[in-house]
Amino acid sequence: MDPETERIFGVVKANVVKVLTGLDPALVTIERSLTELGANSVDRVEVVLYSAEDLGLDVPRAELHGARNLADLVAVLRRHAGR
Amino acid sequence: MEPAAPASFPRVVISGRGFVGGPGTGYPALVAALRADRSAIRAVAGGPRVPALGAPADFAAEEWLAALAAAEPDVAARARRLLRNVPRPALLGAAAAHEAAHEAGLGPDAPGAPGTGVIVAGSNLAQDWGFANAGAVLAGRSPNPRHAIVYADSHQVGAVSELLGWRGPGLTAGAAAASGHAALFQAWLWLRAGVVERCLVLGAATGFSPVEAEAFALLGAAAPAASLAELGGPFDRRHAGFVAGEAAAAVVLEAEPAARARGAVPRGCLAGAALLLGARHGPEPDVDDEERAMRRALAAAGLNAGNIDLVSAHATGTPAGDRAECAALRRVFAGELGRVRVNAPKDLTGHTFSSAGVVAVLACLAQMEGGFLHGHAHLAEPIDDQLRLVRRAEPAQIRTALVNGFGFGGFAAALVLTPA
Repeated sequence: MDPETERIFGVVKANVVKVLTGLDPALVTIERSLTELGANSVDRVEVVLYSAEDLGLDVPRAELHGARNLADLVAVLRRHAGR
Repeated sequence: MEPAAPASFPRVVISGRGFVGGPGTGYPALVAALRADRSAIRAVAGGPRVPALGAPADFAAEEWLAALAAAEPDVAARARRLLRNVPRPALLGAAAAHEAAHEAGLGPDAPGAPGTGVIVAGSNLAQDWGFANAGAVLAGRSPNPRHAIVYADSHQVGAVSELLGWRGPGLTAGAAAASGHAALFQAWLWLRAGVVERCLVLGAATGFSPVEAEAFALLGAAAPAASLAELGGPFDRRHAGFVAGEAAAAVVLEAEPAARARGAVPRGCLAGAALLLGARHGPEPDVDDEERAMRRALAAAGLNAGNIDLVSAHATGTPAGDRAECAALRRVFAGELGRVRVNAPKDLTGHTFSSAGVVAVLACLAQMEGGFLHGHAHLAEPIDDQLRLVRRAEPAQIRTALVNGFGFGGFAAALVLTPA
């Protein structure tokens, strides 16, 4: 994982742990999906919104709908962070 | 027509009690405050047009969750997840509901527990949450991601159901300040009709935003007193409006045979209930409607005014409301006025709106069980010298109580409590 991906994944992971109260942080790996980790539809929106806020990004929601796992989410966030 | 209860209807008993409010966290904290006439009303951060008195709850969610984790780790883990990022009334409500369920012995694995019904008393419970989200959207930010779920009052019904693992019927019941009465009335009907064997009624805490605070002040319904020294409480000549209180209050109601069969301890009986409209939508109290509600609740219980020891008055401290209730009490109790005792719990808890009826029921159960009457903290000169108001707490054997509850919109309601 390159440093920028690692930085963004770190932000996402912190929000996953915050939203999914009681989840073991070790389970949050980049190939997992939020659904696999126990997130419901509202939890998923929270993770995305808070991560974008923490990174200072305004990401159109349509771009996030295709994300299948955390790696996809990180990729979308990274694309915006690079702009 | 006054419908009489067929003998085949089961008695409805109360087997669990829970409270979180200005007087403290837990039903025993409420009882202690009532015994000492200790009012939770204090100075709060007001504004130029907003009252400077209130009775907020000092609820420490983390302490509550930690205590719960020590006793019931699974329930605590669920609570922690369920109650993250939700409006404050849902937190207080969960704590009160859990306390009542726990006292009733209705843990997730208790026989019969899964069929328990849930009725949350109140509407528009989280106005402050909506106000904050409106501010975010107006400022160009996203609303809270949970808003679409938790803005609805019915969210609390689902949260209690999930917390306690119950799958019976559930809904909210709204009737303004008579919402607690409406919910208890509905649960009473379900139990008598055999729809459920047990039902939790949660009087939800009401989270007003600055908009409601200003609107009530504008109507003259909220007390304008700037300091406690100036405050006239319910039935006091200086009364000039209500003081808002914050409380969630819960009771578990059960059909008596089902309660006894599982060894539950009945704490009192909800013997009669009435909820009526007044063919008017405004805030004005109506003596006729209040009289009708009291008489109907007494008839439903098979009792008359001569059987009642205590009236827990609706009495919020608004001059029109207090005066109308005095007039209605004079009619209903007539020759019994010199005997029946009257007190107003809102002087000690503040006016807790959605939960007020459930708070008053808890106050009556406390007095019936504890052998005392609570008095008042802000009653110097009564508006009516015929009512036998309890001035200061005193020992007394109370067997029966009539609990009044009235709400803007023309709601008049009354409940009758008798010994278990």
